[in-house]
Amino acid sequence: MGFSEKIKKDFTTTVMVLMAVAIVINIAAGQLVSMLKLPIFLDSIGTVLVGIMAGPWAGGLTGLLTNLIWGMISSPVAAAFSPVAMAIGIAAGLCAKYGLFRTWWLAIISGVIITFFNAVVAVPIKLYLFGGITGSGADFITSYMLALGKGLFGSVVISVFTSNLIDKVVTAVLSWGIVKALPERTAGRLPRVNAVTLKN
Amino acid sequence: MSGIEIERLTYHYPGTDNASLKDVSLKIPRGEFAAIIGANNSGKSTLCCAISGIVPHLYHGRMHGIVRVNGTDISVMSVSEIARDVGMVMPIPGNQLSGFHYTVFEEVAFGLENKGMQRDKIIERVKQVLLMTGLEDLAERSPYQLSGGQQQRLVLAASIALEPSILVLDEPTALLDPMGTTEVFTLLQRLNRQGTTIVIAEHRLEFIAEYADRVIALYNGKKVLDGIPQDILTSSVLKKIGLEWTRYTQVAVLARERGLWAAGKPLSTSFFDTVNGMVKK
Amino acid sequence: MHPRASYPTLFIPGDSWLHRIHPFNKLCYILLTGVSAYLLPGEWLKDIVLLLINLGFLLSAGIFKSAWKLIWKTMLPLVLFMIPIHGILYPGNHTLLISLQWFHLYREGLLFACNTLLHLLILLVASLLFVFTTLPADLISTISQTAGSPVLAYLIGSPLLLLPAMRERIVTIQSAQQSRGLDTQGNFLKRCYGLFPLLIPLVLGSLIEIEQRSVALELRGFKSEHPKTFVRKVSDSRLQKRVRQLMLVLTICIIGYRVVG
Repeated sequence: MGFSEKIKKDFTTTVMVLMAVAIVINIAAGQLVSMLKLPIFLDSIGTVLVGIMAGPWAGGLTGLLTNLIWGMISSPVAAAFSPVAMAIGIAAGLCAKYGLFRTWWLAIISGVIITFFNAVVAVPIKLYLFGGITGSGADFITSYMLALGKGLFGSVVISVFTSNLIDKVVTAVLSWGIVKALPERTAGRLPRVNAVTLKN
Repeated sequence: MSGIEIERLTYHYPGTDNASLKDVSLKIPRGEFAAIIGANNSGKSTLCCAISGIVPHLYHGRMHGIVRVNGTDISVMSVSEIARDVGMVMPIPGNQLSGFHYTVFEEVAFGLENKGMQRDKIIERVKQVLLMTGLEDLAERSPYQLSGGQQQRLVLAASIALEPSILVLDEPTALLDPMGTTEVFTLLQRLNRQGTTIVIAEHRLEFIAEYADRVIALYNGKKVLDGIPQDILTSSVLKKIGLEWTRYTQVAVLARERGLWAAGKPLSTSFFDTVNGMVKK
Repeated sequence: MHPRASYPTLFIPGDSWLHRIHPFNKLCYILLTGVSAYLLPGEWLKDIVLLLINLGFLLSAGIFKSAWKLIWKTMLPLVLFMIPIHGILYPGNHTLLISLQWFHLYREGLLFACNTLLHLLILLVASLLFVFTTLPADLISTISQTAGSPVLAYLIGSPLLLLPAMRERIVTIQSAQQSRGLDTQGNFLKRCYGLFPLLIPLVLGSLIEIEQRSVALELRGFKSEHPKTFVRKVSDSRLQKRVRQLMLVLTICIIGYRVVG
């Protein structure tokens, strides 16, 4: 099977609708969490869900579009981070592909891997576009590291990694649980939903 | 033959052992207004899906038997080909909107655009359908700012726009109030008089008594009753398959027990007939 | 054919020249402005010229007032964090400007912060030119027609339409859970506990709906191979097409210049 055929097979109408719904879930969950004033974001839960159930490309596109849409409805700054959201979706898809969403503790490992991918893309954007500072709570970590005498690059790496680790692990475990809880009827229509079961 | 022919249809949803439809055979000739009744999980929805090709094209699973629409076996047609002959309306209106059109007008035009109809013709057809469904004043509104009844009429309008010869409706009024329900049924009656075949799964028997010319009852995936509303809706079998007579029939039965019902007159299913059937002791 | 009420995005109704321009031209303009700001030589003068051009566009489209508010809201936190952090802690700092006991403000950090802020401001204004003057429905039609991708049109159009409904659902679930004694206001642990009963029904509920939504789309011929026609007209012209191509070529040239030079 050729590469484009592979994408086509994964990209059914159901997957397209799943992606649209996932984008809404990302934005709604993000707003819900900020409403409850919790120290995590959960704004990539839909992206991770798509990554698990429909593969890395669908996951990546979901992330990318989420931030572009976010940029259109609240502030264009979010759009600058769309490559980061894309990396999260691709990472989640790859983790699922290699069986790292089969149990809850494997999902924790996936969360750490996603955090790593997140940092690889987020650090250059933060550094070159924003000079390391984005006007959020993570800036305190960055400035603390700077005050300790670390370079700008090292400070941003540490701040991005620490401020995302818990969020991405919670997101990954939660996504694992949600996919497991899906009724058979819904799950049966998605190409890679077996990624969360032990036998595969 | 034009119309619907179903021969010995048996269907299992993916991953289930119990068949949702068991050996169902059925002919619905062109122009009929047929109602499918039955308790929850009796197979009403599945039968609707089988006529519109959702089963087996979109819901996979095991299917035996043949479904023909206007003479063609639907298993060899694509979903969009079937959709040209068969329109389908489902219970929740919000889920049937295309979801990316910002006006009622464009929502109705969507199916026609996909068929590649000329722009002027689309505009003419959409206007005509909006007028027919009473949505002409809402043409520029967002589909998501409509009431449930209006949304369901919009779904109907989008379906009618494609001029299907058969319209299949799976409990289209489940989420509507009595006013909205009457609106939908009146519209269906008009379409039926213009020649559209109507197949509707519905649990409110009063409406069926008033509008349908044929009733098919399902129980546990099997066809158990099939006939004219008068016979089926007053049948004593209804109770055994988890359904209840309409209030009018209940009154008529009570009247007969007390000797207040005209001798030899069949039980009634409507308000008017029930009043007329009563006699003085 | 414009929907009358409530736009899901930051769009501001209007009839300026910017409103009438093809959405892709505005997107290309963001791209061109971005690479010019970050990759072209010329430091301050070039940046200020770019900013003035963009502000001029805002004014001529009659959206300056709304943009002004959003610019403040976006830039203020950045200014408040960036100036002191870089002014004091920027690793390249060595020319002291102000010194008050433990507080040392340096020239290099301050310049770095200002430069970064200016670039961001240029990019922000260019993006606002697009976001404020593009009707979502027009953008969706453009993606279907000019870019020829109904799938992408769906992926952007559908979330914008579904979001308001989702917000309503959050409110409904929230009040239902609160009436069962769930606390979404109290202390940290309680709020954590409150999250999941709100989130899980929301996510599962919307995932279960996807089956019906996709069936409905297929029944209406979304995947039909037949060439489609379009009711909504998108304003495009040969001139606009040329300008679009020119902007893309310029963008590529600037990137090429930077890579080679």
